[in-house]
Amino acid sequence: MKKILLICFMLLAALIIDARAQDRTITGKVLDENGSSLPGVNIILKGTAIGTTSDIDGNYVLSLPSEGGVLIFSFIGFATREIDIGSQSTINVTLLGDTRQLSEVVVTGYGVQEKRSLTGSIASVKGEVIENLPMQSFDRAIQGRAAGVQVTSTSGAPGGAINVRIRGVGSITGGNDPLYVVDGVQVNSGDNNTFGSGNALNSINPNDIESIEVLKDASAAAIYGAQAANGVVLITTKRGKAGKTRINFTAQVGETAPINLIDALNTSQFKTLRAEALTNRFGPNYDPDGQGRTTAQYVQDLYGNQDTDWVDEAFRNGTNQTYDISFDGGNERTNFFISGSYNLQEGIVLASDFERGTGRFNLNHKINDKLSIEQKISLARTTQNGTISDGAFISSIHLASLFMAPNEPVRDEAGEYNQDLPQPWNFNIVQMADFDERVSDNTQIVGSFAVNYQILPNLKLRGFIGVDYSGMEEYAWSDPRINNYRNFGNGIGGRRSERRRNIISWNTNETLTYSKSFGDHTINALVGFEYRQLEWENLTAIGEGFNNFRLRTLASAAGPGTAVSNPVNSFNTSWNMASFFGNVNYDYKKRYFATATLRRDGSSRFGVDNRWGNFYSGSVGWAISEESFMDDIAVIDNLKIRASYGQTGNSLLNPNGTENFVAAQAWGVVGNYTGEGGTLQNGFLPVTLGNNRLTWEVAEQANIGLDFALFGGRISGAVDAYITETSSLLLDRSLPTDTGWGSVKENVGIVENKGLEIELSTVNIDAGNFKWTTDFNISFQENQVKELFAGNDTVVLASGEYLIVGNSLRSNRSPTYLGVNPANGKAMWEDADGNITYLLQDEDNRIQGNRLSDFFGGLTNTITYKGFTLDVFFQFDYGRQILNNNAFFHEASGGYIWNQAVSQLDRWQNPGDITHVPRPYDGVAEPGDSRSNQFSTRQLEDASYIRLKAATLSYDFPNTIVSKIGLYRARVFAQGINLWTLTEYTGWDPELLQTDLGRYPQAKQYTLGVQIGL
Amino acid sequence: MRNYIKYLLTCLFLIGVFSCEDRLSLQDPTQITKDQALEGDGIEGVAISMYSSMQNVAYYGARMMIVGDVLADNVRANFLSNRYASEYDNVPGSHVAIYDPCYEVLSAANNLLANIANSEISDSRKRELEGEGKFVRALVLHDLVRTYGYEPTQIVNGWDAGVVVRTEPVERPDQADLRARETVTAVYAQIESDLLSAISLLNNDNPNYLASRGAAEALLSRVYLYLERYDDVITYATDAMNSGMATLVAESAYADAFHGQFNPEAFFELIFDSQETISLNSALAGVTTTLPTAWSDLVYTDDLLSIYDQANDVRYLDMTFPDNDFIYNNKYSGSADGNNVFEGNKPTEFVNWADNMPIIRYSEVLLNRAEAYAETDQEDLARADVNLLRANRGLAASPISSTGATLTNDVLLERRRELAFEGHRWFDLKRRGMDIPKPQGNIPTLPYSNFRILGNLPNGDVDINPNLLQNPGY
Repeated sequence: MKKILLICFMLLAALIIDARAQDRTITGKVLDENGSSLPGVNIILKGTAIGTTSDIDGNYVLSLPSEGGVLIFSFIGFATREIDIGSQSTINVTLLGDTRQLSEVVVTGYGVQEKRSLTGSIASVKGEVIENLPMQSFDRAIQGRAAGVQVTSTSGAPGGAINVRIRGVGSITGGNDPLYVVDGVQVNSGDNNTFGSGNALNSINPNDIESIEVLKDASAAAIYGAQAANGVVLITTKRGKAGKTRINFTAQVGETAPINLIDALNTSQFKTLRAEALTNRFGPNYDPDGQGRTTAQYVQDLYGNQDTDWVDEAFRNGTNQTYDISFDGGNERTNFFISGSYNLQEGIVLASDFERGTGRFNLNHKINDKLSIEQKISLARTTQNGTISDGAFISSIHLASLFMAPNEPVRDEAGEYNQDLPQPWNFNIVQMADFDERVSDNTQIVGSFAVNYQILPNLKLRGFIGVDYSGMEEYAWSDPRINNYRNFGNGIGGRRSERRRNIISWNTNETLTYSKSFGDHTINALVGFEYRQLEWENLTAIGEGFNNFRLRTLASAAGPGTAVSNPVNSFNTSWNMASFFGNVNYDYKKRYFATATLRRDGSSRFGVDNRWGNFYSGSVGWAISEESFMDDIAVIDNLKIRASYGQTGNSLLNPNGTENFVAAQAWGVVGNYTGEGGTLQNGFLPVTLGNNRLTWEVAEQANIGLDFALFGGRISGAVDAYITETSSLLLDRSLPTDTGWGSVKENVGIVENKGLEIELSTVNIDAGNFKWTTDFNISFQENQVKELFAGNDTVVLASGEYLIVGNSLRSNRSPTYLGVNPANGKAMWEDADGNITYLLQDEDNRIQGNRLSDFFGGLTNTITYKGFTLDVFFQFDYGRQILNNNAFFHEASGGYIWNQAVSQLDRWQNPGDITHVPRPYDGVAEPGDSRSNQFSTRQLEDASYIRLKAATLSYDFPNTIVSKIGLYRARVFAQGINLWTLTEYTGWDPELLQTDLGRYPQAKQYTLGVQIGL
Repeated sequence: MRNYIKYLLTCLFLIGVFSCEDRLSLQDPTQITKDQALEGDGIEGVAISMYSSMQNVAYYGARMMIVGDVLADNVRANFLSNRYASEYDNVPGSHVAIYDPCYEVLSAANNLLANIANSEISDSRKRELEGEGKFVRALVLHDLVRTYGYEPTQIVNGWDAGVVVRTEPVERPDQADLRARETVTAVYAQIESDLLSAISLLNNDNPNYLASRGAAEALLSRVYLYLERYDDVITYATDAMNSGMATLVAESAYADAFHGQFNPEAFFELIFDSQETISLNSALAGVTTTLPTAWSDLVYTDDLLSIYDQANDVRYLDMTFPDNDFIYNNKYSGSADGNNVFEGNKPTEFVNWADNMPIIRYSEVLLNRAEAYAETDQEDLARADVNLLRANRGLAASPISSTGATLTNDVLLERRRELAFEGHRWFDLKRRGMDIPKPQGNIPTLPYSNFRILGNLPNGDVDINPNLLQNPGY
């Protein structure tokens, strides 16, 4: 091993010496069509990687090895020019503005590529599109901006987690999250918060982003092999531009407000329903206290007349503010981008907020013509004050607000918090918001370092190492002044739960790129090696018994928690992956293109028999508009067809990547008991059944696409159609309970996703000062389970969810609700035979739509007039049927002892009443019947929506004015987020992925801002 | 030049291969291998896990100790948090529901039994552990078969399906075959064989929170009672009571038996160490008492209260307490007045809701024998057993003197009084083919012929296993 290393170093040294000879220098200046100098233009010798960029005055100097050759001048927004060098030593060039945007460069895996030569399907969102949006993470900001990319909030809490799906859902129980690569660093994503909801990508300041590329098809993504099946999102942050240092400062302040609230019953309405519910069960003279009162009088005496609107108490309007500053500049050899930001957003639910500070330092330096280094580092600290953001918890502030007794005051007559609340909703949410804490502090570093060495004019070696570190410190404080915590700590009361979680993920890759032109042929090739490792450790500690609520660290706890299991606990996991990869791009006359990619991955996650896998793709493109026969068709600026096919893999054994050892059999500690000696001992049992054959999920995808630009770029766009078959799905095969095992993870089944994506950009009016442009994208998707376990068309997941061949992967299964029998007020359902039933059985369940969208997309209209810009962005989603699980509780006709939504006032009262709300019945189940609120299509709702996601009105002060006070830019803007929604969904927020159970709803936001450049 | 490239590529490749292949074999740092687990006397740990698995709140940790009372006429749900509400209403599918935890215990017992032979412990210890494994296996199989099947003597419409029986652990995916339910007779045969074997393997040296010969005899007397093999009931009940593993306590010690550390009446009880915790949401201390923040859902039915001699019976005087219009039971509160801070019957005081669970008590075995005597016309002996119990419950002054069918009814009535809030009532009615009375809450009586007498197998199991038949009506 040592010998090999030694030989390598010697070879490397030899190469360095060998490749030193160069013999001529070309100089020149690059101008735009107005004669202004163009800094930052890329100048390379065709077919090689030799090149430079123009300086602040547009000048360049380039050393070349030999006679002849062609120089390529390229710059974003300008048409690329190729110029024969011949014997010239000075070449001045004028670049023309490019309406067809063919020269646009997009970031691809381990490199960049001109958009015109792409053969795969890549969606690109430029940084300016999401700049200054008051959103905590870029993934939230690209919602509706890229075809085929579906972005859904899993929590509306500020900074809450996000769900991103690229081209549908291919994995059943494994992860469906794409791979995120920030400047080459493969980063961890998902929800990183225990006590609330937090997006792991919050640490990336969206304003630092230059561009986001989404690699959608196999051709684009296969270079990431076993991590590519769910698509890959490449984030490239800004780099400095040579020239005068620019300072950019933005400040914005605003407000957040609830979008839509559900009203709960007031005391008088609540009493009405309770009296009816008790009367219907026990008759008109029900008095459990034995005082001979009527039921109505008993209810009146029980609840009284006090009124509290707990919904109003739980929700609020919050503030938000964001400040951003960046510096960028440099010279031909060194450039830098430095930025800092601060963001504070208060949530719409009491006690919840998000605060973040970020810093970034990006540096590029050319040591000499051959050797250059790049360094990028971003630091972020986020603090979230959370509330329970999801799930049916009585201490969830927003959920409890719907159910708390309306007759109970927030405070008693003495001004103390009222703690005498009826069960089960017996937490005073206002007191909790005041006394309790749920805090998550995350420190995150994403950094990378790269060395580029130009071995030969057409051969470049690049070494890269990147790290993603996240240190999460969280604690939850249960205040001893709250009665419900009085028992903690042997009656002293109070609890503090601490959690520390460190995730270190690092990856390194070494790549060789080779480019060569001969005649009309150009080849770009890449080979490389990569290694990634992730280590994850958790430590939790829970202390109980706090004599004084002011002293609330573990140091003041009477002892470890006793009312919880494992008061002190830890969790460790890790995985790693080694890979070899290569790809070749070929083009002939910029007319015919072909790409081939191969990657071999080995992962620690899989069974010893199936640890290594090969992934590949191939694609071709034909730029029809470059053919001579198209020269006469003036309306067509660009027309290219693309086709690709390939296989990628998915190695996420579970959605959050914590399941890494399921393939190996293992024994572990299972419970404890007092043994013969009278002492408590740990016991051992098998805990993992294991499966030596476990391996990746394989996604086979075929894509055909068409890129077009017409009428001088007035209409441009792309259409892509794809079909993906994901097989060898990582699925838990349920084992009979009598085996003692719940399931075994196996590779089975096939899921098919197919879709059509359309992106369209038009310049509707371009009349001098007035310009109106439209960007539209829509994605149609269809999902079908094609195959499950052999001979079994139905699988019941551990979650209780049914998978049935021929249906969508996220199908709903429930009985059909037939409404209320007008004769007796009872809830009716349809049984398996199509008859009316009052008593549901399992067989009465049937597939009732699914939770995947039929189509979704976005529409942006931008109107500029002189300095004014109005940007209006709608986002839409159609076809999901979502279980409104909250409604199960708050739409039960008053049959429970807790409060209900006002919709329940429509309940059945007298024979002949036509309503969808059954008659109130205490306990909700009439004798011999199913509960009237039993899950059925009654709670399955259409969650389609159109939302005015963002509207921005801005004014750029004219250059003539701002330049007088030494600025290059001054801009004021006003914007709103989630301003308007059209939906039939009756819950808080239709933007939901799965079941709506206590989910923190999203907020509206309004902000005013100012941006100054100097 | 070309050669250099070739070398460089080769080097890059080799660096990758050599440095990474080993790294791909990772072991879960939180787990161990089977060999590591069973090394030396590691088998003892498997026995520990077996007992621990019985502590599941869905089994003897809570549910199994109370649901039999709620499904029948002893205990009612007051809907304070809707816990046990649908069980009280006998909603179809809301039943004993112990399928999952029972098979966890069965699997643990099978893992124990399969690995004893190769373990490095003494032969006498091997015999003991085998006996303990068989006792536990018999207990779970009996709980399963009495929940999901009819008793062999009380079959309805010829439906004689019992439950799936496994006597080997599943250690690889290919061993997880799809099994059918054995007939109830076959399941009872397995239970009987396990218990007879356990009796021959065990001695009475164990503490009562581990299996002993006396506990196996006591359990066997219960099993024979379900089979209506009354002579065998008498034999094994008598053996158990002679084993010395448990005693009948006097009325003055009655409350302490439940509130002290160990229950002297228990042949077998599950111990919850002071460091163990049960969630308040499901713990009996949370559901059946009015301790602070308890859910307090389960209370006496008026009907159950009415069968006690409220002036003299310690089971009423010591075990009931009123709160908020309800009468609560005090067996699981660990404190004398039932609504103080939870103490638990532990050497140290901890607020963790976990309390020892007496699974087979002396008085049950005594009543097993009394019932067997009554059913075999040995009426003096039957009355003597009942009156012995009554004398130790404050009722020495009012012995029973009934005969014939009335005597059997009196034995059953005494059983209802004695074992209230211990999960027996539903099973006692069912094994005798009796309807389930629902005297309170406007709930109709549940006839013995109704399908809801048998529990429903989990739908997930029925769906994946074509050989597994669901009970009728579900």
